[in-house]
Amino acid sequence: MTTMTSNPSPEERLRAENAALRARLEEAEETLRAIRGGEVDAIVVETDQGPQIFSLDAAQAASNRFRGEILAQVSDAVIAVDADQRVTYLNAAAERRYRVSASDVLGRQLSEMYTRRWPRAETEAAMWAALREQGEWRGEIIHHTHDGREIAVEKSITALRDAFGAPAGYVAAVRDITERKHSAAELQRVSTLLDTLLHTAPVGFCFLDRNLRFVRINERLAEINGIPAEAHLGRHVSETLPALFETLREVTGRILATGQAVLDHEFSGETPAAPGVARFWKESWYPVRDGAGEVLGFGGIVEEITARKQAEARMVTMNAQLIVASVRQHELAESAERLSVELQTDITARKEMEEALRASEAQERASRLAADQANRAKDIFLATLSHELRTPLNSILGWAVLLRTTPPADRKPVHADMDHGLAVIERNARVQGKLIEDVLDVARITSGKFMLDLRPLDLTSLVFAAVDAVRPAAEGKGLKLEASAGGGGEGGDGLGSPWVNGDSSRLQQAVSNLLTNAIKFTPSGGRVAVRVELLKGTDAGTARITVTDTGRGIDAEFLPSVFERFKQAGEGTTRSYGGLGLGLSVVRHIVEAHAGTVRAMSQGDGKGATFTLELPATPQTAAPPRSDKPISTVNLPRLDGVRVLVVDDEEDARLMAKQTLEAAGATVVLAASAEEGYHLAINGKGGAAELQVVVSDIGMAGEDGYSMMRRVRTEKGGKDLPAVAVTAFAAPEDKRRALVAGFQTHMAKPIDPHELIAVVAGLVGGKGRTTK
Amino acid sequence: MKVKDAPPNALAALEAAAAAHDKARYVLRLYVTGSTRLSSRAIVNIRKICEEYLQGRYELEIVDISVHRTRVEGEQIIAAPTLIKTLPLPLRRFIGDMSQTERILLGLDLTAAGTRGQST
Repeated sequence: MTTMTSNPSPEERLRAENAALRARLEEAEETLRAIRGGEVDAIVVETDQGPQIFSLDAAQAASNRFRGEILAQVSDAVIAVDADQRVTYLNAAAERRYRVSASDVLGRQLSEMYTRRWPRAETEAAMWAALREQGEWRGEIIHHTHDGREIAVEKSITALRDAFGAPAGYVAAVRDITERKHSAAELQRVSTLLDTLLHTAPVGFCFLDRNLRFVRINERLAEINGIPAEAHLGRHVSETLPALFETLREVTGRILATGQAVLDHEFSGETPAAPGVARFWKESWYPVRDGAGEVLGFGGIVEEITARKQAEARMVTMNAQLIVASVRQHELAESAERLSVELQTDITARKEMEEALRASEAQERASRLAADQANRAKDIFLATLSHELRTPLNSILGWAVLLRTTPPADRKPVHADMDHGLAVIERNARVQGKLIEDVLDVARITSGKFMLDLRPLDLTSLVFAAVDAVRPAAEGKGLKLEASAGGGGEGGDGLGSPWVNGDSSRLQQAVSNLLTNAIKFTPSGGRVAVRVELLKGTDAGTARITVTDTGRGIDAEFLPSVFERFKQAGEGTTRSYGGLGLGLSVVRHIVEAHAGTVRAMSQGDGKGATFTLELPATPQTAAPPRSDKPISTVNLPRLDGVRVLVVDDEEDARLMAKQTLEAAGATVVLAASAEEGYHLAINGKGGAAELQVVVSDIGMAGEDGYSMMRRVRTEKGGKDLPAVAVTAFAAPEDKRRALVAGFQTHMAKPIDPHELIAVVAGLVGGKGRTTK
Repeated sequence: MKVKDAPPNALAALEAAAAAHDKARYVLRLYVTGSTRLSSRAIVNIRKICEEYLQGRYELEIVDISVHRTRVEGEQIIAAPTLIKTLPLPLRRFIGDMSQTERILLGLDLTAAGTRGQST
């Protein structure tokens, strides 16, 4: 205003006043013109109370004010535009939403506030069509604001028309749903993440509802189950995995009952992925609850451990095979199984014992020591078992191979060697048979199948027979073996000889074990003495057998455990004496089963040992001695002219029997099956009348010996045919079965050839002749 | 206009620059009563004029006197809508819905040809 800075002349001042007046006049004219032209809707009057506004259209003003007040309050943005999309109104919410002031945007193009981004192109056309035809539209779009933000909005637009029905613009209510959209997007993102986690997890995962229907399942579990993931959904476990249904029902029932998860549960079963294959899983199941704590269903995490289980099983199998290969398959498999069960049981028992005793500080050390020793004894036993079973086998195999590979031409010069070899084979086979007997006995004792066949018997005869049996071994080692009976010399006078009610073979085994033990631990040049007596005085009614040796004796420390299984004094020297350490424990079992006792005494190392076996005596009976009393190894009967049918499905066994019986003079007919045996027995070569004895195996492929004998017995010609059952099933109950089936007698494998000859001779009665 | 006679001293130069600026810059205030039909029409009309003739050199304030009643005090407003041109001087008032474009341009000293020709 440079013009105002200089002092205006009066003329200039006058001119300015004149101009101002003219302007005022023009304004007044303008106001009148506007009012007349209907361009004014309110008059302002200055009063003492301030300016007052008088509306020219009271009704419109009232609704206008009312509308304004409401729209100022609502949280939705409200924007009005005219037909050219120029903003004619916006409320406070709109100012906030788009960060504008009304002054700045009123009258401007709406596009200066925001531009629209359409989710789909067709939506824009649809909006305009709807506004044209229905006069309103509602939908969701994105607003890109003037300051660069994106707002997701839900928009409700109404078309406005003027008094003449011409389009006058639009009014829009806009709700910000960005937050909602964001939440939905976040939800989607989290859900996708969880889905990915679930589906790519390397362990199986699923969710079952309370009715055990699959709600979710991941790929890994679908793969384990062998059914596509979708095929699980909505289907019941009993439909999809019938083999696992029962287990799952039990586990989920437990979860419902206790509210607790079941963790690391081992399942086994099969799935459609591998029908018929037993598989193993480690599974954890847990309750899945809603916000109120109600159980909605069950989450399951499944890990396949079949491979691990198989590897474990393979290791177990390999271990078993190592042992099995060393012994006769049938017996050893049985015994090893029993032993392993027993070991398992013992280990479990030991652990429980440790648990129980842990509370007692005082006993803890002693019990743990004992338990450790027991365990160590078993470990050593297993090692020993393996070693002991192999040792005789080495000799047998070695000599057998040697003999077989020696060309016939060379045999004569090595005749002596051949005899020696055969003797070695025989001795070792017997040793091994004995080992197996011991193992089987322990197994029977452990499994409660140790049965006795009690009869009155003359203890003196029994002891002497046992002495006879071990005499070769004692003499072979250069020992003096003495036997005596109370009340008389060898054989007794009958008055002083005690009778007991007992199982003769078992008692003989017990005595034999004591003798073998004494012989084993007594060095060459020593003495083993056995004495049988009937005690008098305070101990009247007790029969006593005493076995005394001059061997290395027993350490006082070891005395109490001498009858324990798997125990041998000085484990370090075990090998030098051989044996399993089972013999004495078998003795104790046998004696205790007869209501007797067995004790060991020793003055200590190098001073020899005394074993005392006591049994309740019975009054001497007039009963005849048993027919199966020990057979003398000296007087072998002959079987000349006796026709024997041998039935066995195993060729070696068949030929062995043939060889044995033919050596005694018998004529042998062979049958390789029960069926063949049956035919030969009733109408075979020469007819049944020609046969004097049948010797039959029991356990054969197809029909067994029991069945065959029952059939033979029903035939006219087979009714009175004497028969011997030969079987590896050596327990008393097996013997009874054989008798029931119609056999006259029963022999346990392995068969002693001499015994077989004696038994056959016994059955044919006077028909055989006796040599010597 | 003395602006053309460029003063030799710096203060005069500054004053000249300010004057040139003020001349170029329009400050307008539109008084309306809420969102009535006439108010809306006045707003849109004056905005169109500003955008067409004063792009980049105007400030338009829109005052809703039904809400901000005290804003009319001392402004000698007797009707609504009313537009006041506060700058450049002299102050001028226009009454009505701003539909008389020619009159307004004249009043704003914005005759179509002249203004465009000498716009900064």
